[in-house]
Amino acid sequence: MTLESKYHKKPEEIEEELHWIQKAKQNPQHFAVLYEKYYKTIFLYLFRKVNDMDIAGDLCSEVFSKALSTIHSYEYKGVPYSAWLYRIAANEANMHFRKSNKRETICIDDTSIHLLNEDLQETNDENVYIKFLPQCMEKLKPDEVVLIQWRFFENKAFKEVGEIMNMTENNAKVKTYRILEKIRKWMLEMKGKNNE
Amino acid sequence: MSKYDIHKNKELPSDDEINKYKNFDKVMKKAAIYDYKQATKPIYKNVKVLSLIAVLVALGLIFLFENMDQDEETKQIKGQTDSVQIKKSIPEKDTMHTQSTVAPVINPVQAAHTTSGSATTQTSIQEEQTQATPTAASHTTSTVVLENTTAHFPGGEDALKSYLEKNIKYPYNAVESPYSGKVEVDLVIEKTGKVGTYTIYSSPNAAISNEINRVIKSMPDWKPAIKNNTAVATTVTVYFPFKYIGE
Repeated sequence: MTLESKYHKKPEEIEEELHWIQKAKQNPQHFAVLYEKYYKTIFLYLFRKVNDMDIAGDLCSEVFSKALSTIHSYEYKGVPYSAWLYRIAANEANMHFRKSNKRETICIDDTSIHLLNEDLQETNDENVYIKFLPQCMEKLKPDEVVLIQWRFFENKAFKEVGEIMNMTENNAKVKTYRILEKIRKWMLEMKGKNNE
Repeated sequence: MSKYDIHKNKELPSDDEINKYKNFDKVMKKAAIYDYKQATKPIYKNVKVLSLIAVLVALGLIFLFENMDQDEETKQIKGQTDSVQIKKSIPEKDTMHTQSTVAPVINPVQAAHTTSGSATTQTSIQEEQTQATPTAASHTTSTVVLENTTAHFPGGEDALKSYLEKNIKYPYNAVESPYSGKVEVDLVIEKTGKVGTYTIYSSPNAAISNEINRVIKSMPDWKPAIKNNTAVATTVTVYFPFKYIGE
């Protein structure tokens, strides 16, 4: 089963979320339903980036507080509420790294390696990525970094990447493949230098 | 050293560990603080308000510069000198001005330029008896202040208007389409007061232009502009009115 078919939020599920969003607009207490639903997801996302439980806990609290305080301006567009939460979480993490000057963590797993190889059309060993990926990330522009993170470190389907980044699924695919072309080229150069 | 730390198959915390940080009450309290901060944000920090102010300031500046440009044009027409091309020959010596014949004035004359209908305004000149000065100058007159006036049609603005109305004959025999409106013409009024070269702007057709030519040729001499007691050539803008009275 590919990642694309795995991510499938049913329309009923998204509509049910809308129901709770509308209730939360009337009474903040109803936001608890969405909090329960997405708390773990957002916490783990932040933990993977900051690699610290306390900081992840603080940032997670910030994300949901900000989401709740801006619930009145949330516009339902037929996408899951998680896309909105992920966006806020990504911003919070960025702010944290800007202030603290700490290094950001990239967490990859077997799925990430599989996805990278599939999209790059390579058969690299995981050590290749462990060695060269951070350097490639440094060369990318900020919005390119974000795209790669969602696709390969969070293992998101292109549809979900598009929803989070407010672009179409196709647009997300096209941009990702362009970035991968660059990464492929850089990795070739790096591998070449490494073998010298 | 890289900005990124890479981990493979990082061990993730358990649900219990994650839930230790779960606190919805805290989230609600923080959200309320954010609401309060947003509601009490000083108006000068509000982006929408700041943008609106920026737009208003920009509009204000544009309006101001346009007004300044109009004032500049007014000043140029008042004080324009020989840099304007003059077709007819000008006497080399300025016979209009001799030191002994210049009439001194008491008050500085402020000439205002209007561009509607005619290009001049009347200025009042007061004559005063000459006074002896202790200078070694050969002339016996002393000017307390300098005379400055714009060129004007004899009789002034009203006279020019009625002259045009009386003398402009609409070229009904022309084949071109009818026209009603005012045609802008710049006339060079030479030092002598005679009309020199002129420029017709945006004439609708040749028949109208011909009529303008005819009226200008038969126009009486103007009173030339005076700058610092000296007659100078200037350009005036006159609007020639045409009215087609047809079926």
